[in-house]
Amino acid sequence: MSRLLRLYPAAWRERYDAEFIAMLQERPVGVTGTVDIAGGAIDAHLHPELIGGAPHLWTHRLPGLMATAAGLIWSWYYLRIVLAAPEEWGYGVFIAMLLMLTAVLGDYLAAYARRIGLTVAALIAAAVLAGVQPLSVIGDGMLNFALGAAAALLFSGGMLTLAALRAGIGAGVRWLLIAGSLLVPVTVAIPVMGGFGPTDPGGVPAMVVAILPYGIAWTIVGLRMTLRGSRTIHDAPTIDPASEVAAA
Amino acid sequence: MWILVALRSGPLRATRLLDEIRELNGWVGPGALFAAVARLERHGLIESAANSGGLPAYRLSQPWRTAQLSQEDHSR
Repeated sequence: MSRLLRLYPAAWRERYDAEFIAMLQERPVGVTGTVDIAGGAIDAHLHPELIGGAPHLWTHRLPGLMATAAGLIWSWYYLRIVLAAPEEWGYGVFIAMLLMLTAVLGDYLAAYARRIGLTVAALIAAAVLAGVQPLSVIGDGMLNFALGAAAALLFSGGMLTLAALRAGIGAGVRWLLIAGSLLVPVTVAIPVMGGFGPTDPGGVPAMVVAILPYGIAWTIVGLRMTLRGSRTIHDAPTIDPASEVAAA
Repeated sequence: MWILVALRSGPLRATRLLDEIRELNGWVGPGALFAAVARLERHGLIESAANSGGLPAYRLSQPWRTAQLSQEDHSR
């Protein structure tokens, strides 16, 4: 069982090894305990600062590159539909959305590992979108279409807003990005759109107007995030026992 | 939190601390315990002290002990 301790970083073992081994001898663990120890080892690797090491430095660059790639794939995908193969539906949009989601979640998780609520909320939003959109396709009512469109707008706008926040883009420009890439294009395109696909009458120009700006906005946000690249130290706030006692 | 409560009664070795917390708040694993101990030590809320058995015992740090003593004085 003490072999499990090899999962921990060397500095950590140096500090706690003897006590840990003694504890395992006195209180042997089962499967749950083994999982718990493995979890503790991951935590120790993620937080070397707890035992005197330098804290991990996080950067926006990787999420920024993912966001840029998402924006480019999105734009390329729809341009390709319009310019080359209007009848083709591929997986580009799904790859782009997956990259967007990963970029946003990855960047937030890096900086705010404890704010799991945000992650869960984003995943729920994705699940709602995935659940509502098929309804809008299966049903033939305007309500279903409106629900699907509203969910898609909320989700797309929310993701872009979160990415823009992480890129350090101010509130004014953020709203411009949302309006310019989603609200205005969709409002303009919906009356023009004759159908849901690029082969329907009026579908192609409406799709370009409605969807392409979103890809461009993601490219801008992604580049900004990548160039920002500020290394932010993720560390727990220090608690001063004396001031805590005084406050109590 | 439960570690601080458990240590109010005095210094405890890690295994005894584990037992106390399990009594107070149900099952907790050694991985989670040491992760919490490392954080509390880093924040200066608890400290380890040499023990006659060779393994260190944990106790509340000095400011907390002082606060505890003054609280006990008040309650008398």
